[in-house]
Amino acid sequence: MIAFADDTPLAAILAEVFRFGAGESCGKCTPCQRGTPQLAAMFEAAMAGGRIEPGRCADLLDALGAASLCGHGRGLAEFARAVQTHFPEEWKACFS
Amino acid sequence: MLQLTIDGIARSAEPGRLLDVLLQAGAEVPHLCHDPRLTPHGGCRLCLVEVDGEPRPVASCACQAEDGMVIRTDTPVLRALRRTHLQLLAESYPAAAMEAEPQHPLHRLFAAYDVEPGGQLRDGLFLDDSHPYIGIDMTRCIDCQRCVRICEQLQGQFVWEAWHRGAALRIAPAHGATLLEGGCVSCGACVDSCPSGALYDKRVTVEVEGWTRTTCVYCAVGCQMEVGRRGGRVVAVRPAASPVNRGHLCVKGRYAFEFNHSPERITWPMIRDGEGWRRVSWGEALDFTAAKLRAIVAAHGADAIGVLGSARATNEENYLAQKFARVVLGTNNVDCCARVCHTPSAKALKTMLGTGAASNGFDDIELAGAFLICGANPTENHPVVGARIKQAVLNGARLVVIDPRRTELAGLADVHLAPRPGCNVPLFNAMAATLIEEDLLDQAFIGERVDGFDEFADFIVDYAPERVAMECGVSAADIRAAARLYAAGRPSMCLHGLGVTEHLQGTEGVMTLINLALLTGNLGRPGAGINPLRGQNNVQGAAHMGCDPATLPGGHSFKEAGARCASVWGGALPERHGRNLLQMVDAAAAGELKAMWAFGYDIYLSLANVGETSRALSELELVIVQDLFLNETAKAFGSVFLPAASFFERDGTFMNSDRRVQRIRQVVPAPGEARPDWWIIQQLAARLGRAEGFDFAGPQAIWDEVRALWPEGAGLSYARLEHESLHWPCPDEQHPGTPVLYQSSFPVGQRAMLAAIAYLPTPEQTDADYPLLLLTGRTLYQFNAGTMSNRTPDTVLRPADTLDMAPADASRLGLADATPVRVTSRYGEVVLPLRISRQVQPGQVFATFHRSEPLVNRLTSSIRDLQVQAPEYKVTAVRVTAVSA
Ligand code: SF4
Ligand code: SF4
Ligand code: SF4
Ligand code: FES
Repeated sequence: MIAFADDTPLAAILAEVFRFGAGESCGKCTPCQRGTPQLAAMFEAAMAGGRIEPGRCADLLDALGAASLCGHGRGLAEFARAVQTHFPEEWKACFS
Repeated sequence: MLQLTIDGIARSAEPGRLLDVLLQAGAEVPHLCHDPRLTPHGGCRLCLVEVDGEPRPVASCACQAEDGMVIRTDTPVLRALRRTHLQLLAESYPAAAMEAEPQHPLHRLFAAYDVEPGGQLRDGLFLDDSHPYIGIDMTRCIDCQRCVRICEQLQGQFVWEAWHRGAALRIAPAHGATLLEGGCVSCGACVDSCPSGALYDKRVTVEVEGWTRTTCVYCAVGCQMEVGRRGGRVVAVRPAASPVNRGHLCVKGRYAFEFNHSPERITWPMIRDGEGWRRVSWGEALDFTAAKLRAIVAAHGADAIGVLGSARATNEENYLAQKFARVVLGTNNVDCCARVCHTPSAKALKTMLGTGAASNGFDDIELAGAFLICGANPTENHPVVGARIKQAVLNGARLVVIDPRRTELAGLADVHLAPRPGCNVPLFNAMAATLIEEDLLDQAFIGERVDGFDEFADFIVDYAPERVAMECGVSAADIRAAARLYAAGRPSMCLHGLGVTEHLQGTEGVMTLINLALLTGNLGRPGAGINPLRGQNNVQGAAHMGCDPATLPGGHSFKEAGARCASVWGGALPERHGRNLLQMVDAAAAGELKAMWAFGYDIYLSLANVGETSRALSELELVIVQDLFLNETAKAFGSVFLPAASFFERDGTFMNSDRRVQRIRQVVPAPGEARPDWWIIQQLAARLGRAEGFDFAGPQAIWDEVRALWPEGAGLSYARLEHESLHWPCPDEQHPGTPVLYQSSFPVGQRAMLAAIAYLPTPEQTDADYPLLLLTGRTLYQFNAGTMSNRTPDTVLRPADTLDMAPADASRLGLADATPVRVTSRYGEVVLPLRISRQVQPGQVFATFHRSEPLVNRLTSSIRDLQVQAPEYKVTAVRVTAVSA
């Protein structure tokens, strides 16, 4: 469980969830071992005002969601997709 | 058969892992963490395929093919996912590696998916450049963990570990700062499996031109391997898939090949000229040899000549050697190095059961419930079999090890009995006594298949564990525990080595082991049996082809096969008993033997009691040495040297320890004027007026004559050996071979007889002057006389012979590790570096014998096995003193 304040920006939440997810990855499968830290870095950059390259992010999330070995990687991808569905504005903001 | 649809095409396939099925069907499914030798891992996520009914792509390496599956292996979605994964892996991959080796499979995969290495090297990578064979460049590691898994699952060594997790995961040894400190035994399996080039063969520096499949020349496991060549040289070896070794090799087979191109190879014939040697033509060498042989036969008779076949030579060549002795010379004085190792096993098995060879095959290792390993150290001396036994034990089989030393397997054993050397017979008898006393017998088997039970039971009470334990130096309770495990584990597989045979009671030691199998019904069934672990590649074959004074081709006696041989060979066989190797040496010393012809065998270095061997060999008028190198016998005693082709340079067959006949194939041309042994024998026969009968076009023609003479081998045609791994007996070309002997009867009859063997202590005993018992044996990194392995970088891994001593003895004697010590026996003396080792017991020392200097056989005695005269290499009383400065 990760606790956040009401006003935490979504980019920060995404960055924290992926940072946490990367730390918890067992390291066995490629998309999770090597993809999760990249996603964490992307959202961290967005938090600091940077812009995420949407194609690359989508590829990594697709791989994590469709091809990771266990529920850890799939869950992380589902989380990001949920943010995308429910908070489209803030999600988009990360890419511009 | 399963019915599948693969990329729209209907296919049928054998059940198996989906990836293997797809690859078999020709689908191009990329894969990086998969190795068919290992359990599924599913890590790299490249082998993804779409299967109808599955919500997301499936890792095909980690699931089984199922009937009715509809599979797509190449779709835009799959390609995109694979590309993402390859990009992730390539980010930390060095670009220079890809540029240097565009044909490497991983690099081709990167290129096919349009992925470029990013070269963002990671930190904390393992570095080690100290191994002579294994190169490590972890900048190329893609974390597939094949190295970790193959070291565990195939070799059982647990060297590598995946440290940390997530992005911090790094591959490094679990213990120690280097691979070798981490316990690596240099089998090369991790290198062979590594898909990225992070692990590589340091000494393979050129691109291989082509691969040839052949059989390893070192031990009699008989591993199948592929040998890479370039420009007429052997440049690489890799394991082949075969039931014998299942894609595994040991350090010797995999890496110790450079002897073949050693500058010390002798590549032309030579005749001794005073103190030196004179290069001569083949014509002159053969004329000289033939003339000498003819003169000796004329002056002293054919029995003044002895011929020694070789474990190094093929079956075809050994067959020809004994035929030469019997037909051309007219003597049964023919033997081979089996005499000094497992002739006692062959004799015991032939006498009691009817076939002088292992009763079961290596495939039975995985079927055994328990192992009884006696006087053998398979993880060093038969490493691929050792690794299989280790895996079986890790998977739950019980293990009893009987060995004076705490070998690696002894460390894993449920019971380790460490008897005083020389006490096998009372110890095995005590186990038999336990089986009877505690009623641990297979009554049904005894009722149907065993004779002499009542007499044996009466005899054996004197050997109750409590009566003999003290003499044997082990506890009675442990003897009983060992017997119980052996009985309860059924099927229990007994494997034994030279620790049983190289004794005064060597043959009888094996007979007492056979008793245990008869009492517990551990014969004639899979997973059981009495199995000598033969030492050298073709030692089983050499003797089986008739290089034994009392044996004709096929392992048959004169009574069984004499008439058959005489008719095929077109003449009567010599009637006088032949001399075995040791009798030849004795006869030489007595001036009765005048000539010896030894091929691929350094007699002087390898026989016990060098002083006596030397006196005997120096009496000979003619010593013909046929070898790759000027060995110690040649240097000291040779009169003529005939340069032989190595096993990389000729065709033929070897017979391994579990009765398989396997092909060897020429990989490279022989250097200079070196020739295969069969050619040399053929030429000499012709010069001695017997061209006919030796006029073969090549090894296959010779083999066909062997098959005509050996009913149990008749089905082993070259055509079948191309693609089958067959155990004899295999009487016809439709026969599937016989992995398990004695299933319904024994060649000696329906029933086999128990042997009541009384214990006879060896006269070689310790006393105040010689208070320690010396055992001799081998190490993983060297092979026997070292003729081959000492001419490879194995010498880095094992630089010298050593004397191993228990810490307690070393401190009592004031001897320091790694210092030279003098070892003195009643027969001779040598200086060896001391190695303090917890493997040896106090009161005993252990020496390896792989070098000509110091020559450890200066120490060993002239005591021999009572029945077949194998020397007692395993018991010598010695004292050990400091070498004063
Ligand atoms: S060479 Fe063999 S023993 Fe050594 S680490 Fe590799 S797999 Fe393990
Ligand atoms: S060293 Fe080779 S086999 Fe081991 S994890 Fe790395 S890439 Fe895989
Ligand atoms: S186990 Fe024996 S046959 Fe196999 S590679 Fe090693 S030495 Fe050769
Ligand atoms: S080969 Fe199947 S996941 Fe690596």
